[in-house]
Amino acid sequence: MMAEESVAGQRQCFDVAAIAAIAHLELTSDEMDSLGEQLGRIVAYVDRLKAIAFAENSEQFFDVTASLRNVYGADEVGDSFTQEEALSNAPESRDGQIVVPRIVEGD
Amino acid sequence: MGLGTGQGLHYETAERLSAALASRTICSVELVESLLGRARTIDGKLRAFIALDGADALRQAVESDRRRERGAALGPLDGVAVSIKDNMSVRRWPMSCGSRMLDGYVSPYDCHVVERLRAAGAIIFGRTNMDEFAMGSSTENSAFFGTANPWDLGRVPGGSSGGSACAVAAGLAPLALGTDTGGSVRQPAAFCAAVGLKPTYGRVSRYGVTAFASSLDQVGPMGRSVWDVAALLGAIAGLDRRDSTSSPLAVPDYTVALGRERRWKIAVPREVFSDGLDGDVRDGLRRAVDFFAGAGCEILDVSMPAMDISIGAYYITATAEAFSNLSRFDGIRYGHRSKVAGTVGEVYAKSRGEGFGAEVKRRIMLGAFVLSGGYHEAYYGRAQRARVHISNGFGEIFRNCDFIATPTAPTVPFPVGAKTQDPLAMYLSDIYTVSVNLVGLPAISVCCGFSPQGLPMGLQLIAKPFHEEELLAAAAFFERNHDFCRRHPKIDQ
Repeated sequence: MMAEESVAGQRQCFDVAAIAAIAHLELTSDEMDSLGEQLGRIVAYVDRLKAIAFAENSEQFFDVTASLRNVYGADEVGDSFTQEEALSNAPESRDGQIVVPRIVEGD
Repeated sequence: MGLGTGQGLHYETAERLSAALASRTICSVELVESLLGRARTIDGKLRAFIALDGADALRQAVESDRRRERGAALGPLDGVAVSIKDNMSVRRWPMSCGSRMLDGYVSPYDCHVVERLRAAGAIIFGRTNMDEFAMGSSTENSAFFGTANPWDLGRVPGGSSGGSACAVAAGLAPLALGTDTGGSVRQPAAFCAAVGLKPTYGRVSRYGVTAFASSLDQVGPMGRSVWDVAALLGAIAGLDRRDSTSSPLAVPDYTVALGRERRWKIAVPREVFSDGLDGDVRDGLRRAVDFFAGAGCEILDVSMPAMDISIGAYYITATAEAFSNLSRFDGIRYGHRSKVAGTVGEVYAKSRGEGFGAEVKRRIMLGAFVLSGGYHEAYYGRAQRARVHISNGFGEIFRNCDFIATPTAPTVPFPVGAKTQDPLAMYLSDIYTVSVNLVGLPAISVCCGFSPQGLPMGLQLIAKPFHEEELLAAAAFFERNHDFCRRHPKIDQ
């Protein structure tokens, strides 16, 4: 399913099904249609950024993160959740583990 | 004047409640009972809260009163109620983020800001409604119900922290916390005539707060006065090793400098007076600017051409980060798991398809697109360069001024349903707020008047990084000289 939007002479193709697969989202066909149309318009709007020539590698004048440094934590064992707490929100668990559908073939 | 003369305690500021608790004129149980009674009377109409556990609030209030009796109060907020946006983890409380995706989820721990509030003795008072995963500007994207604007029940309270803003404005709580990724504290504050502050990026730890766009998210305090917001900021700000962006800069007592009056230099970007700006809001901004000019402040007419590209840069950045952050909601470890999924792939896709609402799906899809092969550089890469460009634009303006003044939002609160069919129109309503998050600056919204129909509007003041003290002082100066914060909506009539 393709939604198309003409932007400054360019055709913007938005492959809704392919993007939904990347996003692990199952969509109904109604959702596919409306998202295709809406996202086409939103992408056309954000495309205005393409009209501006930004300086390459320009230094950020006002970067609040610039004063911060990488933070490394000490690799130490500390208090954390108990197994019971960690599993307390799992949709399905058994024997201290989260149950998921079979991933590997065979017995 | 005595507390709550003839009308209960609900419109008392945290400042006055704090003093009354300290002098033992009232006790915390009395306050909490008053607020619970208020909620029973009016929250059926407003729906600010997703959940309010009265028994839990009263238990906390009893403990606070016992501390007071022992002379062991924990600080000015001991016994004062603070409502919490429902994207923050509160131990043993459900957390929904306004979504069906987290059905049945109960937080196993407190987020940092709630830890800090408990250490300050505050009463954690109810989970407030919000746009699903904080994506929206009207609280209409909540999976559960909308929240009304207390000034006109047919209008939206703003969003995404609309429940928190409504709770504060309607006297359901003196204080509330919101989160602000593109204006989600400031815009609902403006729509409800409350005060809302987005702190500098890194000022408040986000540990335990559900991530939306990690390079933009901040927790922000909301209240009915600048003092109240300053006190709440002081309680939640500061270094936390569990959020690596958390700043080690010392946290002052933000209430101390509120009396400061300076001849501030205030820049007003001429681009704010564009076609999209509502006439009443334009007049409100002009009156606010004239007030500062009349008080001896220097007003600078400046240009900020990058305002035009901020929405595009913001929605690319925010959706790309949301796409990544929301990948954790996959139906495996917590939250909704589809009942009809056979394979692991189906568990992901069906659980997410069933659990997420329309706006969240839209943003995840946009984020997946702007990061996808062949488009990454054209969209995400360009948005990051735009961000530097916008940042430099702010830097140029701040060489010569203390604050930038804009309206908080281009319109007064809009009617329920007015923008739900047009996502782009909803995005454009964030025009004045998103660039602040892109650059990481602190900004505050204070009420600067009412339209002829009685609808509130907000003045946004933006400051340099970590200049919250000065920002709060200017806002308090404005507040002292106007009566807006003493006006309250007439909900009961």
